[in-house]
Parts: sequence; structure tokens; C-alpha cells
Amino acid sequence: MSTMTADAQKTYERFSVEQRFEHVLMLASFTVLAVTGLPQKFIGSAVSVAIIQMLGGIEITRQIHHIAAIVMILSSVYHLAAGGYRTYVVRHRMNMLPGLSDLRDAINTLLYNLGVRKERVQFGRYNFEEKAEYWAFVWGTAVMVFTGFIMWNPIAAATFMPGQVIPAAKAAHGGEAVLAVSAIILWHMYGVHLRHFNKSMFTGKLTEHEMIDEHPLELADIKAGVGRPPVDPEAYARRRRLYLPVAAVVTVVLFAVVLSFMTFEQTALDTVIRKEPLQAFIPLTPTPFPTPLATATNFPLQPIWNFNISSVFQAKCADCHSTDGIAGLDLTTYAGVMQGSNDGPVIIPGDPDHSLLVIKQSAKHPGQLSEFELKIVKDWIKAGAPRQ
Amino acid sequence: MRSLLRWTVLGLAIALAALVMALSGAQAAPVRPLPQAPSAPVQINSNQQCLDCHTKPDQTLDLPSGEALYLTIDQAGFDAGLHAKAEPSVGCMGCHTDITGYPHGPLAAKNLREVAISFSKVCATCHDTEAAKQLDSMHQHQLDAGNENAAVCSDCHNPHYTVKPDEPRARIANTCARCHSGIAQEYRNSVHGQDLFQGDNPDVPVCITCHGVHNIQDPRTAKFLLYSPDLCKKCHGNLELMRKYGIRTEVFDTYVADFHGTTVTLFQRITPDQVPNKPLCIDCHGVHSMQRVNDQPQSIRENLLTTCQKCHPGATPNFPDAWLSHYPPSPDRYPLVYFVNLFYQVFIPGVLGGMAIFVAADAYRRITRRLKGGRA
Repeated sequence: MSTMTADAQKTYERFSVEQRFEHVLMLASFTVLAVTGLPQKFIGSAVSVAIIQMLGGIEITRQIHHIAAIVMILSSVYHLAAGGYRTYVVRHRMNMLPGLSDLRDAINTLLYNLGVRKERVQFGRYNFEEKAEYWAFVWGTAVMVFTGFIMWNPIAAATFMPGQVIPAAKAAHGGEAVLAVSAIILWHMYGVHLRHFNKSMFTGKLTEHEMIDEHPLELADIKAGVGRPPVDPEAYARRRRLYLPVAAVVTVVLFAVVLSFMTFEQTALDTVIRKEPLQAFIPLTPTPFPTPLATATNFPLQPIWNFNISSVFQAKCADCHSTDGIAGLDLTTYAGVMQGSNDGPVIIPGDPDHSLLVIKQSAKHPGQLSEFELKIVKDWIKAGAPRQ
Repeated sequence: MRSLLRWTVLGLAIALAALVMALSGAQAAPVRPLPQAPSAPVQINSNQQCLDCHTKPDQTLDLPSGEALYLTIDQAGFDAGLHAKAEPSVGCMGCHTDITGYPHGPLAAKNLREVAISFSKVCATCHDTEAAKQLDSMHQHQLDAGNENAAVCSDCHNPHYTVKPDEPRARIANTCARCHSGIAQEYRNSVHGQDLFQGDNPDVPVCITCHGVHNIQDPRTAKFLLYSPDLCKKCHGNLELMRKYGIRTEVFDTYVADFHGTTVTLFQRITPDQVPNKPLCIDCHGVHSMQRVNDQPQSIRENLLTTCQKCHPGATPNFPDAWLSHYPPSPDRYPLVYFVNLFYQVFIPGVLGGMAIFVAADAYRRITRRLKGGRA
């Protein structure tokens, strides 16, 4: 028992510094992507609006989302290179690969938890829960990168795919996002935070106690000396010489692909043609003034005061020029007409052209005789302005 | 003698200086919009006195600008007007408060626009609600900024022949057309305008349906543009109204569900001062010239591509399919989108449900062990 207590203090390396750094990158970019992405899917929610507002508006939110996406894609590229190195150069076992045994483990674990099976399932370096999460992440990243590229570069995507792929990509991107975030909360958070806070992703180590509990088969391999067999230095160096240049080229190419991903096409924000401002004020040509109509005269006129010069003056002039009329002129009586205005006589019998009344009529006078009426008045004056 | 001459010269100089001051003072005096007439030899007390002269044809007054102010009133038209029929009726001097007799005093207005503008305040004495609304209008703002072409009361409502401004409804469009004839022509040819002018259709929007009356706002502002889809929605989201024309009401929701509409909705809620940089209804359908989809000169498909290319010049013939044409995806229409959605509707609960079973079973074991006092 005493040896076991001493061994319980012993720790085993689970994750290297590089792996832990990778995890931090993924953790950060995933969180930023979720926080900036989900509100775009659920814009009807007040929470979404509050988040986008806090981030400074939708345009900035999309920028942040794009930057986080690039970080995640670049760290995925790095992950491929590093995984290749561990597998090919260092010859680690590919113990993340899933197999039928994982299915068996899953079923047996379920039965054990429900009390049907008495014996607890023993796991190696990666159990079925961890493999499920890893491969779900791989699948999710692939879907998100593919659909994200289409949404980022819709014009380019439509040149080699049907246009319908673009809204379909948007649908898949949103669906996958909901699935990924829910799975992280349900599976990952329960598995490594809630039931037992597994800090190995940050410390890099598991205690012997934790190894016995969670990875007894791996511990047994380590104790038996077959966990990570020693590497032949010469073979290691040879493989390293071969792998590093190849990996470097592939990585550079992939980085170039990512760069083109970001700048593949211009957004419509840059290509949109600004419209000429609308010419709003185009007035119609104003309606011309109505052409004056000759006033119809429906009674016979003779150039005699009683027949009916008096009626013409009564109808056309009396409003202003009656007793005490404007300019002291009274045109309602023969005597008034002959007396004239404050400016002197208005009628010079026999000389219509020098009579003030005719002169005034020919200018802009408010009251106007019709052409015919004026002619009769002139005839009347010419005839000496007779009363009868 | 010499001192007398000196005093005369001095007196003349003072008189001249006083005259110059008086003249310069007169020039600087502000122009009164409605000067009170000097007491006239003849007092005017009734409409009839005015009409005795002003029904005479071809009465005009030459303004300093060289324009002629038409002064003849068609009495039959005036008597048929709402002002004449009002209780109490509004007569000539109700508005022409500067005229009390004949001859009339001089007119302060230098041109026809000044005449129209000077009378606006008179309208406000009775129509105070409308006048107050109009104070917040684009027309008033333009006027305040010195644009004398901006419409004032009498430009839309002829005060001498007052008629109901919206009977028939086409009268509204014709009124706006007096100044906005270019836009009015586009509207006349649009699906809305055709129905208005040919069928007096009470359902179609006229100018004021979207732009408002009296407090007409600048339609170029970020706010107006951002909320313009909501203007369309007022009618195009009305199920009862749209059923009459066989038009689907999903147009608004499908727009908001798409990238463009989503962004515009977010601008509305978060950055209402942002000038929309995504298409609004009007960018594809036209501002005043909207047509039936089937009435376009090109095929719908070609037309859609042309429309997309307005903002996406590199768009290829595949591209317009990215837009679901206001249809929710279905197995017949946009099946790919429909089945992707369906897949996730099944896949998400499937995966999460499976995970939940494992998590619940694990939690069950740990909790029951702990309750029994054993190790989890």
C-alpha cells in the first residue's frame, strides 16, 4: 500500500507544450467564432443584438469572425503538420484512430453505468469519448471551412458550383455551428470539466491516480515499457531530414491557399456602383394664363347715353366710380360723366383719342371694357357724347 | 454775406447727409412679407367688391422679377371650393389681410416664389396642425436652407379653388408631379401607378403612402433608406390585401432571412445612422418604377442576373440561384437548401440525444455511488 501512495504522487506527461498551445488557439478561436457567429444566425433574439452591439456592429462582428476563422484554419494546418511529424518521424502509435473496439467500449460503458454490467471498461491512451470528440471536431472543421469559403467568396463559388450551394452552405454553416457549440457544452464540458476537472490540457500531466482511473491500459503499457518504445536515433534523423522539407512546402502551400481564401474575391462593398443622385426637382411647365374671352354683350348698343352707354358704365365702372367714387369720378349719371374726375374731364366730346376715359381703358385699368364696348364708347364720344 | 453763405452750405450739407442716412436706412429695412396697405380712398368690405375687378379676365401684375402675377379669379371655381363652402366661409380678406381698400398698397414680394412663400403663414392661422407638421418637412428644411423652389402650402393646395386633395387619388400624384415630374413619370409607368391612373385602385400606394403628407422626410437619409423595407411590408405583409392580387406575403420574411435583409435589420437595431450598404427592396425592384416580375423586358432569369451584377459585377449565370427569390426552400424549389436544413433538423437532435444518453448514464452512476457513500 505504501508504494501505491508514493506512486500516486507520480505524474505522466499527457500533452506536450505544443499540443497545449494548439488547444489554446482552438479554444480561443472556437469561442470567438461561436460568440460572433451564433448571433448572426439568431438575429431575432435580443441577446444576439446586444452581443453584436457590444462588438461594435455587424460589420465589425463579421470581421472578427473572419479573423478567428483564419486563426482556426491556420492552427488546423499546423495540426496536420505536427500530427504527421509525430506519426512519421517520431513513430507514435496512431492511437486516435477509431475502431470497432471503441464501439464495444461505448456500449459496455453504457451498460456498466446503468448497472447492467458489473465490470468497468478499461481504456487506453484515448477512450471512445475522446475519439468521438476529436473526430467530430475534424468533421465540423471541414464542414465549416468548406461552407465558410463559399459564403466568403460566393461569386467564385458560383462559377464552379450551382448558385443554390451558397444558401445551402449558409444553412449547413449555421446547423453545424449549433451542433458544435451544443456538443462542446454537453460532451466536452461534462466529460472534462464537470464530472472531474481534468487539467491535463493545461498542466500537460496526469497523476498516477488519474491514470489508473481513466487510462489504465496506457499506464500498464508505460509500466511494461511498451508505451512509447525508444527511437533509433539514426532512423529518426533520416526521417526528420525527409519530413521537414516536405512538411514545410505543404504548409507554405496551405498557408497560401488560406491567404487566397481571405482575398479570393472583392466584396460587393467595393464593387458596387454608386447610383447617380436622383434628380428630384423637375417642375412641369406652368400652365399658361387663360386667354381672355371677349365678354358677350347680349343687348343692342348704340352710341347714345340712354341706349345704352349708361348700362355699360353701370355694369363695368359703377363699383368704383359712383357717388363719391375713386378719383372723385361718378360714371353712373350723365352729369357725373361730363363733370369728370379730380384730374379733370374724362370725356372730350368729338375727340375719343384724347379723352382720359379712353386713355385709361387702353392702359392697365382694373375694370376693362370689352373691345366691342370700347368701340361703341369711342363712337359715342366721336358723335359728341349725346345724351339722347 | 459771407457768413450767410457759410450757413447755407452747412445747412445743405446736413440736409444731404440726413437724406443719405434716410435712404440707406430704408434699404436696410427688412422686407415685410405682408405689408399693411396704406389707408386707401375706398374701403373694401366684401368679397363682391374684390371679385368685381378680379373676375375680369387677364388681370396681371408685373413683378420686379419680370414675371407676371395672375390676378383673375374664376368665380364659379372659387364658389365651388371648400373655402367658400366652409362655415364660416373663408373670403378674400381672410387670407389677403394686407389689402383693405383700393388702390392696394405695394407688394413686398419680388417674384412669384416670394408671393407663394409669403402666404404660408396665413394658411397656418387656420391649418395649424398641418402647418406644424410641415415645419419638420424636407420642403421646409430646403426652404430654410435658401431653396425657394421648395413647395409651400399653395403649391399643392390652390387656395382659390380648394378641392379635396385626394379625390380622386390620382390627384395626389398629379400634385407632386408639378415639381417632381421625372419621378412621377416613372411612377405612372410602374405597376402601382398604372393601377392608380387606369383603375383608380384604392389599394396601390400613391406618393404620400410612402413619403407621408406635410411632414415629408428626406428619403435619402440613412434612416429612411434603412426602414424602407418596412414601408413595403405595410402592404406586402398584409395577407388580406395581397390575396386579392395573388402576391405572397413571405416576401419580407424571406428578405430578412437572407444575408442582405439580415444585415439591414441589424443596421436598423444597432447602427440606425449607417447608410445601408446592402440592397433594399428598392434596389432590385426599383424606387418608383417597380414592375411585375413577369412584365420585364428580359426573361426573369436574365433580369435577375442583371440585377445581381449591379453590385456583383463578376456574377455568372449560376449566381442568381443563390437568391431564393423570396421562396422558403422546399423539395421542389431549392431542394439542396431544403435537404441541408432537414439534415440538420434530424442530425442535431440525433447527435445531441446520443450524447445526452451517455452523459446521463455516467451522471446516474456517479450520483447513485455517491449517495451510497462509495467512490464515484
